[in-house]
Amino acid sequence: MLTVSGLKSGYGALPVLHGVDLAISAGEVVGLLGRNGAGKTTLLRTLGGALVAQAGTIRIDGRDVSRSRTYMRARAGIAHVPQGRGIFGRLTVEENLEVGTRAAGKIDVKRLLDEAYAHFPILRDRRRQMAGTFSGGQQQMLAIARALCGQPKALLLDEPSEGIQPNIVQEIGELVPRLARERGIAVLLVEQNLDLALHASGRCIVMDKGLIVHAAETSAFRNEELLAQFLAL
Amino acid sequence: MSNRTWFVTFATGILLLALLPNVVDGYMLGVMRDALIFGLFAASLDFFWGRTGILCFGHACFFGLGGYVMAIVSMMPDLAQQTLFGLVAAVAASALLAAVIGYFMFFGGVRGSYFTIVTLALAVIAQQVAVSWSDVTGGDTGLLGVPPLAFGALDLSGDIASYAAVAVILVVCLLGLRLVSVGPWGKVLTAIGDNEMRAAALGYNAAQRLTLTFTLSAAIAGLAGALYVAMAGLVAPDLIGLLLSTEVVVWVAIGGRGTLIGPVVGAVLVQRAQQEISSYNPSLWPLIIGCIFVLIVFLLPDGILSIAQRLRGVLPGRTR
Repeated sequence: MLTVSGLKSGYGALPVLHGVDLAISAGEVVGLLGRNGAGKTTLLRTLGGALVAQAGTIRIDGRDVSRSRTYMRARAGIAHVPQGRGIFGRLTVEENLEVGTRAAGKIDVKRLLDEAYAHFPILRDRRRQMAGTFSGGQQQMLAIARALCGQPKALLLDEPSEGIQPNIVQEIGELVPRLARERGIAVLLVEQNLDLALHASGRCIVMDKGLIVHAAETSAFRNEELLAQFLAL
Repeated sequence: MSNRTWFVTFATGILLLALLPNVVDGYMLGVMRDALIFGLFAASLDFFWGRTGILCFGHACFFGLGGYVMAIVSMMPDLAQQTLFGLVAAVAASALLAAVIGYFMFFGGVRGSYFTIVTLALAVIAQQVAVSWSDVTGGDTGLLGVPPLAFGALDLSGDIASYAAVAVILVVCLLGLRLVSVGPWGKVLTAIGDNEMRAAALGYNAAQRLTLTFTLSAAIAGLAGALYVAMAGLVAPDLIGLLLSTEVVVWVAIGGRGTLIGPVVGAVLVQRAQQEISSYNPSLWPLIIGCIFVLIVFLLPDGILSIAQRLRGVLPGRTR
């Protein structure tokens, strides 16, 4: 579903990604691990279009979007939920979700909202509330729900557990693989919370210095030596 | 401002506009008519600034261009339906200028204070062009003898007729802008204003939306400029320059950014105050308006329309 090959990117003259290769199938959750500064967020920003790829290709469902602008990538099926959530604080919860339906094209907005509310009932209860007044955990739910409203083919989640109370982290950990399975979404999950990453992902990859240095089934990451080697844990 | 509050305020405003001709004389009606035109101009700026958070500091470019085009077209000797063609040309010229400026700025990634600074420079350039290109613009003197509004046999040059025409156009424009602001387009604009990168990541071509919104805003500013010139009978460089661009920002800030009605109220009140105070002492006005502006920014950042909401919050027995 999401295929990346030889991807290079960075900030101006500062290269960060030095040739990343990656493939995620529909319905699969891949955990992306790595130390701070390894290039995880840069990879997600480059896939989403916030950063321009300097080399390499990004394909979504076979379609090359490497040179596409951000909004065209969203319409092609890439949804990026960044660190800090990026919800629209001056809009209500429902308006945030409505705005999120653009990438899905001209379809039944109400049905999409109902689907989002089915996964996150608290959002239905608070649909008239201004999103800026939400807590961190609620904002994270809203950000994921809003991304789902665009009916994405690939979902890029950047540290969804950051600054969130444990019970919501657990909820997200159960929801993400279920969503991927039920909707056939390819999920790339960047996470510092190892428990969440190992719980939600079927496969994990490790980045270091802008390259993918290790990839294995999640079960292999329950090995202390491996964690010490790649993540200095 | 909630929909209900907005429409109650709007209906009250329409009632006041309708009652005004019964309580003031012809001269004062003309003064109010001109103030309402500037109110329409302020609302046009607010439509863009209020929703997107991007300040255009050269909005008088579009007001003035509309005015000049209206004057030039409607003073063509052999043209039938001068008013109609003048208004259409004025609106089209302002919209076209904004579309060109907007295209290069928004698609070129110019945002925030950079946009403000560039548009400020545009106002200075526009005024310089208006002064220097005297063959077309009449230079410092401007163009005199612009015919009043008339559509065929319908003559709108009288005090009440011209006032009514302006009031109706203002009401229709405000209603239209409000509907756009609270509809899907306005929500996307708010989203872009909040976080443009996020809006793009949800599938919106933010640069295109900003350009179109800026164009619509400028078109209405051009309409206001054309109306003003037709009412005043002349156009001069002070309608296109930096001073008017600054004044309209002050009207919007004082009235209440993002409310559309607030800027109209701000424009009318500030101009009335300016006329009254300047009649006592002309040099006192800049000092007073400067102080009012600073006070509003500190004490009422949401403008004078927010006074009612604040009072409701502190009155006993009211929960909000």
